[in-house]
Amino acid sequence: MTKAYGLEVIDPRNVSGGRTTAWFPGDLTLGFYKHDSLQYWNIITARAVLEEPRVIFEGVREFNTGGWCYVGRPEEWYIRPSVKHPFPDHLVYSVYLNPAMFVYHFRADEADLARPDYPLGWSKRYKGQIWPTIS
Amino acid sequence: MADHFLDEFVKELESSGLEPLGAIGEPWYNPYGDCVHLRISGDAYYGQRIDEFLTIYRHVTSRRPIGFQIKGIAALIKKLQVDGLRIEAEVGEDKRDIEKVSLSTLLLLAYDEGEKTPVRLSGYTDAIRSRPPADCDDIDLVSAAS
Repeated sequence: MTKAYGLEVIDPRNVSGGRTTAWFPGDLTLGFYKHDSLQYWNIITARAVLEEPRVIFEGVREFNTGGWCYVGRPEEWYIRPSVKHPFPDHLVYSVYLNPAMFVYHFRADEADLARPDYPLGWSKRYKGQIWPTIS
Repeated sequence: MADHFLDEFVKELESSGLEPLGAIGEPWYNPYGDCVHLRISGDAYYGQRIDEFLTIYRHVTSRRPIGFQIKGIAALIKKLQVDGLRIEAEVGEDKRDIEKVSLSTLLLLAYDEGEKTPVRLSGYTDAIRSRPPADCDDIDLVSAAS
């Protein structure tokens, strides 16, 4: 297994109190560091969302089984390497994990203006919301 | 310069000789997400989901397209007939594994999968327009997975 950096997060397989580790893969992280500075700095934003998500969805891809998306509204994000800026009101920040709990992508997404903690099209683009649990 | 909580971690990774993934200005395959990313600019961006295969990356202030993500690469590759259609792909010696595939091919396969709606047409047009020059069109699937 590639070296990876672990972060404790809500366990998407046991959202009623379980915790587990999400992993930032070493080769992907090193790639951001060397080739994509802005994405490297927004690992900090991704960490903030993983630590304090607003919503967690499961089934993030139609053609790949499993995976989760943690969505949040961080107070700030990076718009240039090492330069923070208030996070825009009309966006959310999404962090995508594969079934092995590797973080493979993170980015801002358009928000649903009717539910500003949710990404646009949320009701159709995932298998379902798993946290907060819906009664 | 401000500190990043992963700075020590990346220093260890560099010393270990680990091969980094990723690029700016060229498409690259992300094996952790079975997707291809392309960004032609390092500026701040947000995602606009077009369909189950394509997300356009838009500049956060100007909203112009600066790249895209193609998802579900394994599913798209299955559509390619190794012994059949003339395709822009390289295959392994045993003729069963596709080792390289062109970005153009992936975009066309993905577009072909769904309804021909104005939103999809516009999204895929934006993706094609933000492609790099033809000599950067090939995506290496093997080295990323090894």
